[in-house]
Amino acid sequence: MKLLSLWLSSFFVLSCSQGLEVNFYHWDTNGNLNSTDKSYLESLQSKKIYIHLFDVEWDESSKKAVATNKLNSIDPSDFEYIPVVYLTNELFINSPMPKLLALADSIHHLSSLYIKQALGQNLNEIQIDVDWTPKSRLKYFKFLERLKEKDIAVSATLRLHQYKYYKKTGVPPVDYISLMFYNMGDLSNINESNSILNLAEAKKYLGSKDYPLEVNVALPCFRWAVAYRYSKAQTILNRKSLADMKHLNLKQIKANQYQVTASAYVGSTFLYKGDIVRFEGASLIELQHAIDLTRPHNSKNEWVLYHLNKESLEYYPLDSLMSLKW
Amino acid sequence: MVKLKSIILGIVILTSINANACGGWDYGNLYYDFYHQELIGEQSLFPYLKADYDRYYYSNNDDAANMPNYNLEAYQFHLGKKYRLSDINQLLLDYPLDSLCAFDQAIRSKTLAKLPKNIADNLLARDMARGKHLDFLDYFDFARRVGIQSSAFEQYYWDEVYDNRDYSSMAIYLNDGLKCADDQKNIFLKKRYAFQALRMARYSNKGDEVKRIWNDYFEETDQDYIYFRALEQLAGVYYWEESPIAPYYFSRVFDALPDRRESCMNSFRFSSQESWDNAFELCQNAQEEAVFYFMRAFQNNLNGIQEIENIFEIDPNSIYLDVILARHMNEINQAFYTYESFWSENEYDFSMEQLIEDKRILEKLINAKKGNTDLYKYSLAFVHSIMKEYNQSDKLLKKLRRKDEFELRADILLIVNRIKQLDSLSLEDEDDIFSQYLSNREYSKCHSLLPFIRNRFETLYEKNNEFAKAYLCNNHMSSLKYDYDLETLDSLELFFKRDSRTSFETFIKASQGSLESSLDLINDLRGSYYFLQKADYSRSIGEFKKLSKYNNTSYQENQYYLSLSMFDGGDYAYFDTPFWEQSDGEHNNIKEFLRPIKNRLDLVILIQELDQTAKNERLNNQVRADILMGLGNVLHNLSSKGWFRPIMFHQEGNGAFSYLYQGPTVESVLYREKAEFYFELAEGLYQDAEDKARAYFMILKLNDALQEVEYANNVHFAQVFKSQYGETDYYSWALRECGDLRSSLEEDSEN
Repeated sequence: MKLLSLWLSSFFVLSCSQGLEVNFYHWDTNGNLNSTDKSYLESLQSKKIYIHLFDVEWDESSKKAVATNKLNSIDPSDFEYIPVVYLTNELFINSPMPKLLALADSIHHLSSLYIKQALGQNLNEIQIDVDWTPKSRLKYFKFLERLKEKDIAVSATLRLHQYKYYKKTGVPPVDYISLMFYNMGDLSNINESNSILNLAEAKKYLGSKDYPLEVNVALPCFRWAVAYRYSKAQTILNRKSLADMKHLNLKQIKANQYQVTASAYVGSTFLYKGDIVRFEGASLIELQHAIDLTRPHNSKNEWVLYHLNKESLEYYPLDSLMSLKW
Repeated sequence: MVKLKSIILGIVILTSINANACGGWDYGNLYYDFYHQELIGEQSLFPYLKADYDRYYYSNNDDAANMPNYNLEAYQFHLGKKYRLSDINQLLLDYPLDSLCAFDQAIRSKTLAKLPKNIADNLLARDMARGKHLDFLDYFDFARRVGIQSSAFEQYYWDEVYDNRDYSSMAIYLNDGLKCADDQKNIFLKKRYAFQALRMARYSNKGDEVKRIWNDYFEETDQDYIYFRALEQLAGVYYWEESPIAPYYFSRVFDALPDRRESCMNSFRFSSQESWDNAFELCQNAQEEAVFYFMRAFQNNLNGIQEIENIFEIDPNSIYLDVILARHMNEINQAFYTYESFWSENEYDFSMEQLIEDKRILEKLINAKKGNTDLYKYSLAFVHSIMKEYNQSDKLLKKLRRKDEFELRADILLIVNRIKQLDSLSLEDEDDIFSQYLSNREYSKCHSLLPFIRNRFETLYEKNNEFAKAYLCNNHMSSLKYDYDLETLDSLELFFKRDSRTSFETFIKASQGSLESSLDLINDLRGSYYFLQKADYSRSIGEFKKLSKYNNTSYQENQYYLSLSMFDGGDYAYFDTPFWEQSDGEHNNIKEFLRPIKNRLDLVILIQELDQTAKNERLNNQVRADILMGLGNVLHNLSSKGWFRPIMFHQEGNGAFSYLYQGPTVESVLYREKAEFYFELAEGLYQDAEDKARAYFMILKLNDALQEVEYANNVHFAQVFKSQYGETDYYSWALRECGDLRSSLEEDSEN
């Protein structure tokens, strides 16, 4: 395996242009790297791991910010860890500004503490992930400004429409943005072909390259299945493959759509006979198209793959990722 | 034929204005509800009929208030009917613990002169004062103390872990509870004390202790209310262990205790098919298995028909069958009979295969089920109707034992079946259908068929280029939704351009409806919606002045329109600030000036007058600026946060506001931007720094309320405000009052 990785690495170096980086998001609550993770990171010569530390949500009952989905454990490694914190838009709409500024301080404090204690690293950068709207923008931007005061680099995720219409939506006060080039379709629509990556739709948002900040591009390396009943989306079945649903006796009805013919549980979700399951993700060819489409916009020359997870990466064998023209 | 349709349309118009809903339309979900909860008998299962998640559980809706309190009833059953539930509830739950203790002590020390005032009417307290049921008084005291411990859950907030539980106290209560249980002769109280001890054991994470208490005090006892409450706690212990016993016990409690259903449903979980199989094997009989299917159905966004078949196979007379069936049909109902899709047969996307399957199972049920099968026949008729098998549908509907809501809905479905076939019927047959409809007083009072008629006639009139009439049909729908889009309004105007008003009036008269109210509807629409949206205040006033109600003195007293007063809630929304109280006499004058405004007409007149006066360059700049400020205030307060909002917005039942007006004009011009524009003009005309600062202040208030201002603009604005007007009171008030912008200003002042 190690030899193969070495061989692939050398091939990869030749195939990519100078200064290019391919890094990963890590979104699981167990942050320890397994051998698969390491082989991907090493072979793709990744330098950074954007590691999800926790989410912060608005708790309506207590009227407070609540941290959830916390990272449980992590072992030190040689990679540079950039903590990522996801905050809900609702939190910004409901919280008063002084609380949000205090929250920014807490997030900075906890992130640096975690990075220091668990990894022995200094906090140099933090990434904030918020699906903000015009209603929350003002508070969100001030929140980001507060983080910027901490003498660390601050980056933020950005949705496609915020990228295209930045003059209207505003530009977050950060050092650079990560353009989320996935989850772009309408998940709730049974006629949607692929809500994770829809290149035809995405093209519409990639017009001029005048975004005023540096940009890296986040690409999908994950799959899921969406279950529909009576044409209404019911649930997302994360990391479930056809093989996991054998006992449902799935009958193919479209390229990526199947009908359940035997009712049964899949994990904790019960699917009924007649339900439709759509498997979504990005194929290797689609990933290559996505790279080609976004390359002119990727001013940082950095790709970040979502995400470093053994089951997700099973769909993206290392050699196939390395064969992509970045 | 034309005359008959005109009559119908007249009724449509009238009922659309003053319609008293008699059931049918579910306004929350905007569909015609053929499956009302009254169709099933078991009241405690009503919450499970609603498909919408918010109303799925009864904790947040009216059903909760109607739900019997089974715990209090258990006490009443034991103590005797002479005690009211409210008596028991007061002592068990409401009366302050300190007062309860004092009451207890006073009785035992024989120092109670008279009953405390707030329990003087409590029959149970009276008897306790006479020395009866003192063992219950002791228990109430104990249960209240345990209750305090039980509510101290472990809670995870932002960056700290709180565990409010007092483990040492819980250990004491656990032991005390068991001791009291052992000492107690009264079985009712013995089990209650044991239950409190069991709770303490569970909240102290002592799973084995919970099991021991269960075995010693409950397992062999009667399966009464407290037995199942204890079983629920035991299920919680098995839940920790991920044992299949947990869902089995939760299902039993679900079945036995309607007031614990929400909690049990939440805890009824499976991690795989295997875990379901293991738990299901524990079921002792068909009823228990039926509960499993029922609960699964409601945890998985319901595919009712398959669970119906499952339950039917084992327990054909289960009450759960009726509930799932009604819920399942309601799902189909929602897909087919929405406002939008009532007629458009291509809009829904519902599997025909599924309907065929539904039909098959329903037929099987009707043939095999004993007793009254009306609900099943009605449902089969409904499916036939959707599948355009109208004859079969009619046949079943006519067989029903007709009564109450059921009768009305079945009859409506019969009419639906006939109307749906209109395209294949002769004009005479159409008339015949509507004659039947009109001759039935119940129908004409009801909203139910209006959408049919609306759609039918709208299409008809449009084909004949009778746009206003078509519009009125369409407007009926819109008035129900409080939603007038610009496109619809444009179509109305198109009519007025192409057709003459006279012909329209002739049409209204021919309809034998009320000309006055029909014309009012049109005038109101044109005045308040069309021209106001186009910011054409002059023409808007013209339309308003044609309204009969504005010339009607009793109208001024009409409570509904009084509630539209711009001052409704105004004080708290805006005036209750130092800005008004301390210094701004001039604005108080404007406040008085605005006071007579009671309705949209007055509002439009005001806007127009202010606008025209402000343009008059012969007036001095101070006056013009003051007027512009007033105008800015008016427009500012047309927003959803302003105190004009009842005029511009409709308040929904849940308190939320929705636009009465729609369209880009209103959103972008009448609200913030136009108001800001006026404030800026005022600022330019004012000479005095305080006045100029006031204009700045208002812009800040405006932006602060709406939070939709460019970030960069705020910073710049704060800088200008501080540098030019930093010495004014307005600046300091702005720092105090303008939440989000305060930070910008503070930062600026620090710099």
